[in-house]
Amino acid sequence: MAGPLQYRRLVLETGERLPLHTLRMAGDLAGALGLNMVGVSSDDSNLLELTRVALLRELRLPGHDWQPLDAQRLLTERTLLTEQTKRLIAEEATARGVSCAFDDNNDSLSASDIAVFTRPFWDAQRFLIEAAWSSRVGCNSTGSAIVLVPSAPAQASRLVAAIAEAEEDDPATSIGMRLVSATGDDLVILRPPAPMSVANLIRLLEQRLRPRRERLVILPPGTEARQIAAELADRRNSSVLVPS
Amino acid sequence: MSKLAFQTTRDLVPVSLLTAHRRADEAIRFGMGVSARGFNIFASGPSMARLPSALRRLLTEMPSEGKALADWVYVNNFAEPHRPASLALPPGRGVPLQRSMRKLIEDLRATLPALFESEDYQRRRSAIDESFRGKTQAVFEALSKKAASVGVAIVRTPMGFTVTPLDKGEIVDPDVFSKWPVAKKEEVRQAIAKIEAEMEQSLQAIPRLQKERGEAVRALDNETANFAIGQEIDELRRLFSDLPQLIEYLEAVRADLTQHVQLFLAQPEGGSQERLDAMQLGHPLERYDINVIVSNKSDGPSPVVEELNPTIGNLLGRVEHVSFQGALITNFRMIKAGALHRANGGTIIIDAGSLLTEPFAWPALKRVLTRQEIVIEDLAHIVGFASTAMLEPQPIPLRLKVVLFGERWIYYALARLDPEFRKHFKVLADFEDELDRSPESEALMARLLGGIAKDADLRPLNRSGVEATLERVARLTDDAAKLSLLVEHIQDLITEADRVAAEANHELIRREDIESAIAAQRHRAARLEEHSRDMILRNLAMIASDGTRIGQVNGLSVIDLAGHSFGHPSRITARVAPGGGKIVDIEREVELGGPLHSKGVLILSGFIAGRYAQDVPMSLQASLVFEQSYGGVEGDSASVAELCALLSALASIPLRQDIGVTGSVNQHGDVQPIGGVNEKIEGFFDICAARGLTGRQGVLIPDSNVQQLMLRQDVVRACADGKFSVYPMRNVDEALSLLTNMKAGERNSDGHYPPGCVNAAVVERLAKFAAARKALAASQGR
Repeated sequence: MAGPLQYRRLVLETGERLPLHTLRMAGDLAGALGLNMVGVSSDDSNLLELTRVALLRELRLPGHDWQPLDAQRLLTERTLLTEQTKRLIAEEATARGVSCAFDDNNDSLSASDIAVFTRPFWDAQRFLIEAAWSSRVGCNSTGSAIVLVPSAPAQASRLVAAIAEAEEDDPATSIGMRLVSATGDDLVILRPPAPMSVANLIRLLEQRLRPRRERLVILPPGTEARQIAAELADRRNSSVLVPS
Repeated sequence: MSKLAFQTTRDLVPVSLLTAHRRADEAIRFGMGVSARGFNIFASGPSMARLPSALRRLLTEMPSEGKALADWVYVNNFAEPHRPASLALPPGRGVPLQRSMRKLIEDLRATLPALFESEDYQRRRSAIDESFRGKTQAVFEALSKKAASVGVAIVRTPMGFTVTPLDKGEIVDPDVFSKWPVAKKEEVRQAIAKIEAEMEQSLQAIPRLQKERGEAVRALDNETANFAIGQEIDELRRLFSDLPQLIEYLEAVRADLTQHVQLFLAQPEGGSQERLDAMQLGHPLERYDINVIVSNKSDGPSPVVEELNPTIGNLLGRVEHVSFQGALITNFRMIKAGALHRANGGTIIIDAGSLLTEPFAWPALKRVLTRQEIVIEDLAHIVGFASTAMLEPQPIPLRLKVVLFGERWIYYALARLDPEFRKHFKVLADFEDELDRSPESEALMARLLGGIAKDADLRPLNRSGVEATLERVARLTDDAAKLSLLVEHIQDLITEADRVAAEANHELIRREDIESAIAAQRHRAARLEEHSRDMILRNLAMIASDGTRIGQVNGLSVIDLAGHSFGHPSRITARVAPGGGKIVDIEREVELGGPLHSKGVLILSGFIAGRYAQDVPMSLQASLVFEQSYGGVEGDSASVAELCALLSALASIPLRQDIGVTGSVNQHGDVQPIGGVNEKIEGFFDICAARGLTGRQGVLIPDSNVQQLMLRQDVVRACADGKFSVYPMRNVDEALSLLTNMKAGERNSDGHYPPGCVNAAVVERLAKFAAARKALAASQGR
C-alpha cells in the first residue's frame, strides 16, 4: 500500500451545473482517498454589476428567448443552482462515508486540494468570456491537483491507468493504488512516453490497454501534464487526474 | 363368491371401480372418443362412490390418440407490452427455449459492454465527437472573434448568455459606460444587436448539430450492437429452425435488443450473481425472458388434471402483481397458468359442486368452452375493483375434454336451470349406487376389495373377511339383493378392520376383524340411539311390547343421523267419534307432519270410505297422532299402522302391543314396500330383547320388503329359535288378523261381512255413527 497522501479536500464548484458522472468520479476519489468533499462558490459580482447597463439583454436557454438582464433574477437562479449542487454533493458525501463542507466566500485552492472540473462538450465556454470558476481556475490551478472529467465519458469500465516513472513512491501510482483498492478496479501502470504529448499518450494507451479502455488516466505531476490534460480528456473521453 | 377360488385377496387380480359402473364406463369412453364441440362429460353419482379417483384412473389409462400436446409460453409483445403474446411449441421445447434466451441475454451482458468499451468502438465514437466538437468550435471561434472585433464580448449567465461592451479588452465598468458619449453608446448598441443576432443564430444551430451527432452515435451503436446481437440471434434461430412460429418473435427480439442496447451498457460488470439478477422482476432485461406456463414431456401422455379448487384464477390462470417501489406492477412474466392451460390437449376433472360455489367460475368455464380459447380474466376487473395496471394476454386455443363430477341433483339442477349446460355437457356418465347381487358381482366386488386394500397398503382380506365385508356392503344398500358401490364406506370399513387385525396380530383381515370394526363404527355413533332406547326402557317414552289395547299400535320409523341409521318405535293412537267424515291428522294440524305423511293419512280416508261407507254416509270423526313425538314426521311408512289403529278404534277391538308394524297402504288396502326395513326390525327387536323375548313378539313388514332383509345375526338367531318373528303382509286384512287375533273378514255374496270379524265390527260402528248423526240432525230440525 502506498504511503500517506498530502490531499485533504476534494473541491467542486457549486455555482455551475454538476453532471452526475462528475459527481460519481468525485465521490469515488473522495471515498477511496478519504477526502473531505468541499463545495466552493466563485465570485460572480462582475456579472451582477453588468445589470446596471440598461441596454443589455440575456438570451435564456433552452427556450432561446430574450429578456432584460435582471439582477434579482440572476441572483435567484444562481442561488437555486448553488443549492441544488450543494445538495448533490452532500448526498454523495453521505453515500461515500466522507465529510462534507461548503465555503461560499473562498474559492482558492491549495496543494492539499484535488479540484474536479467537468470539460465542456459543445458549449461555448472556451470561446466566450465568462466568470466561471472552471474556466478561470481549471488547468491553470497550479497549486492543487486537478481532475478533468469529460462531458460524455466513454462506456463505464473498471480500469485505471497511471502514467508513472516508478511503481512505488510515485504520486500517480500512489493515488491509483488507493483508488483501485477501494473500488475494485484494475490498475495499469505505464511508463511516460517521450515526449509527453497527447498523441504519444493516446498511442500508448491504445497499444497497452486494447481492447479495454480506461476510465481514468493519472498523469505525473507537472506543468507539462497540465498543459495536455484537457485535450487528453476531450480526445479519450476519459477522466484525467494531474497530481499537485 | 362361489364363482371365485381364492384364499386371500392377494390371490385376486385387482379390478378398476369402473368395471362395476359399466354404463358410466361406456359413457366416458364415448365422450372421450368424440372430439366434436360440446361432448364434454358430466359424471354423476353419490359422493361416497369416489368418482374422481375412478375417473382419474380411467382417463389416465385411456390412449391419447390424436391429442395435440404443446408447451405454451408467454413472451413480451415489444409493440404492445400490455398484450403479451402466446406461443405454442412442441412438447418439451418450452424450457430449452427459455434457457437459450436467458443464455443469450447473459452472453450479451458480457459481450456488449466489452464491445462498447473496446478501443475500436471508442475510436469511432471519439471521431464522431471530435467532428461535432470541431463544428461547434468553428462556429463559436468565429463568433468570438467577430464579437471582439466590434468591441463586445459574450458572457455566460446561469441560464444563458448576454453580450456586453468591452473597454480596452475588458468587460466595461457600468460607471465608465454611463459616461460614454451617446454616439459611442449607439455604436455599441448596434454592435451588440448584431452579435446578439449572430449568437442566437449560432446557438440555434447547436441542436441540429447535436441531433446529427446523436444520429451518428446511434448508427454506430446499432452497427456495433448488431454485430454481437446478430450472432446470438442467428445461433438461436439455428437451434429452433424447426419452429417457424418462433422466427417472428426472434426478429422482434433482435430489433428490440438493438434499439435498447443501452440497457446492457448500464449494467455493471460483475459475477454470476449479478447475471442471475437480470431476470428478477423489475430488471430492465426481463423483457427478453420466456415465461413457460405449460411444460410437457416430449414423449409424455395427454395430461389429466384434477382441479380441486376451481376458482376462476385457478382455472383460467391469472396475472399476478408485485409491489415494486410502492406500486403494484406486472408484466408478461407474472402470467400464471390455470388448470385449463395445464390440461390443454388432455382432460380436466372438476368437482361440479366446488365449481358452482366459486364466484364467476362456472360462467367463466362456459365462456371458455364457447370461445374454445383460454382468456385470462381478472376477478378484480370483473367486479370493478381493479385499480392497477392490467395485462391482456393473448388467448390460447383450447383443445381439451372437461369432465365434471358431482351428485345427481347437481346434474339435474343444471339441466333444468341453465339452458347452456346441455350445450356444453352432452354426455352423462351416470354412476351406479349399487350392483345386483350375484356370484359374478360378488366376485367382482372381492377383486375390488383386493384392489382397495392393496392401493391403501392394508392387509389382504381372507375369504371370511371378504364374505363379512360383502354382507356389510349389501347391508349398506338396505337390500339383500344388492351390493353397494359406495367405495368410501367400504374403504373406511377395511381400514378400521386392518387396525383391528393389527392389534390382534392377524396377518389377514378376517371376518371377526370386519365385525369388530362394524361394531366399533356403530358404537361410536350410537349415543343417541342408546339414549332413545333407554327412554323407552325407562318408560319415559311409552312403548308397550306386550298386552293389547284398542286404537293403539307400535309404528316403526328410522332415524338417520349423519350416516348412522337406527330403528325407533313410536306409539300411534287413534280415537273415533261420530262426525262429518273427517280424519284429523294431528301431526299435520300442528305442522309437524310432512306432505307425504299427510298424503298417507288422506289415503286412509279413501280406503275407509271405499270399503265401509258404500251404503251410509261417512259419519266419522277420527284423530291420529304419533304420541310423544315432538319433531317432524314424514313419509307414509306408518300408514298401515295408522290404519290398524283407526280400525281398532272403530271396531273397539284391541291390537297386540308385542307387534311392531311398518308399511304403507294404498286406497285398496294393499301394503306397499318401505325403506329402512332392517333398521326398523332391529330397533323393535332391541326393545323387546331388553325387556325379555317372549316368543310372541315380532314385526309386521310388507311382503315385498322380505327380499331386502339383511338382519343382524342376533335377530336372525332369535327368529330361528322362535323367540322373535318377522311377519310379511300383503294387505291390511292380514295385518288386522295378526294384530287382533281375529279374522278380518271378507264380504260374502250379499255384500255383508260375516259376524265376529274385524271388518263387520267396523261396519257396525260406522252405521251407529251414521244413525247417531241422523238422529241428531232430526232433533235439531235439519
